[in-house]
Amino acid sequence: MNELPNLDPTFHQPVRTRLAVLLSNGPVSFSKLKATLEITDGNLDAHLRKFSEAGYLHTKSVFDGRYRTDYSLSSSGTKAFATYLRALGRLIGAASQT
Amino acid sequence: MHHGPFPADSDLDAVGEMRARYLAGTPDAYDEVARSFRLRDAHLKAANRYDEVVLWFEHDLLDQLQILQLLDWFSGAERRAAKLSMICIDRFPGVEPFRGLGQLNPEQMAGLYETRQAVTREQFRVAIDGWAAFRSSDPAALETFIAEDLTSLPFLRAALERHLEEYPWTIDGLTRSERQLLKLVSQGVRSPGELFALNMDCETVFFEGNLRLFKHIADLCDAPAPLLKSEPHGTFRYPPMVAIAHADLLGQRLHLTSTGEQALAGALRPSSVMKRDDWLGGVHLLSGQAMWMWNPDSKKIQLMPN
Repeated sequence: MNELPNLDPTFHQPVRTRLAVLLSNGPVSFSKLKATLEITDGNLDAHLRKFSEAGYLHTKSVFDGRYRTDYSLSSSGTKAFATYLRALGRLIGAASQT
Repeated sequence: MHHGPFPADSDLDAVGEMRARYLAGTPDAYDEVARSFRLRDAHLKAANRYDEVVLWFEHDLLDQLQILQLLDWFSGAERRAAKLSMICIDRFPGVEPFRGLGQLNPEQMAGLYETRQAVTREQFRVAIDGWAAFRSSDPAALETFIAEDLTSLPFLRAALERHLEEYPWTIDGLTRSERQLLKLVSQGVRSPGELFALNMDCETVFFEGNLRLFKHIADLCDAPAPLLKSEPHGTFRYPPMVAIAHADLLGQRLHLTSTGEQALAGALRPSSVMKRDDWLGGVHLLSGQAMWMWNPDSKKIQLMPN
C-alpha cells in the first residue's frame, strides 16, 4: 500500500471541514455561516481565526444598507482544501482496499 | 488610522478592541468590526510561519501609518517571517493619476512583485520612532520626528505633514478636510458622491475613504450651529450610524448654511465653530478645553486656550 497521506489539521476537524465547504462556495456572511453550522458566535469566531492564522481566509466588506463582511477561502486556502480533499479521498480509497 | 484613538501604551489586542469600538460607531456594528481586527491580527501573529512576507503599500497617509504600525510590530524579530520585504510606490507608468495599488491589473501587480526590497534596519528604526511619535499625546513629538531624516521611508514626511493639517486651524477652527468640503458645497456641489470625487482633486495625495468623508459631512451638519444642511433629513445619514439604501445615501443633497458661510470667511471664533471630541493618533481634541491647532502661517501645532 502507498504511504498514507497527512491531513491538514486546519481542515480536519468536524466543524471546520463543513465551514471550509461553505467558504469554498462563498462569499458568505457571518450570520449565514452561523445559522448553517448551528454554532455560537464565539465558536465560529474561533474556527475562522484558525483559517486566518493559516492564511486560508479571504474577507471582503460589502455595503448592503449597512457594511458587513463576507468570507470565503483565499486562493491558498482553496488550494489547501483541494489538497486536503484529495488526501482524504486517498485515505478512504486505502481503507476500502483493506 | 489617521483618525480615532491610538494611545501610546496599548498592545495589539487592546488597540484592536479600541479601534473597533471607534470605527464601528454603533454597538450593532461592533462585533463585525472587532471580528475583522481579530482575524487580521491572527494572521499577523502567524507571520513567522512564512519564509517571506511582502508588505504592499502606496504613498498615502493611511498606508504610511500602516507601515509605521506594522514595522513597529515586526521589529520584534520573533514575530516576523524569515524575510520581510516591502513594495511602496507613489506612481506607476501609464496610470495617471496614480491614487493606489487598486488601480493596477494583475499583470502590473505581478511586475511590481519583482521590485520588492528587504526591509532595512533603518526603516525599522524610523518606523519605531514614528509610531511612538504618532501615538504621543503631545503633537510636538510628531513635529520633532518629521524634522528627522526620513529618507528610508520616502513618502512618510509628506503624509505626516498632511496629517498635521487635520488639526483645526487657528484661523477659522476648521480642519483642512472640513474647509475643502465647505468650499466645494459653496461652489454648488450638492451630492455626497460628487463631493467625494471632487475632494480627491483637492489633495496632492488622496487618503480619505468614503466613510470618513461621510463623518465629516455629518459633523458639519451636526455642529452646534450647523455649517451644512442635508436634505431631506436635515442631518446627514450614513452607514454604519444608520442603515440606509445606497440610492438614498447618495440621494441626499447638501447646502451651506449662513453659519457655514461665516466659518468659511473666518468670521467665527475658532474654538466654537465645531463641537469636537476627536482623536488624531494619541492627541485628544475636546471642545471646552485648551486645544491643539494648526497654525498655517508658522506651520506648527500650537495649544490654543478655550
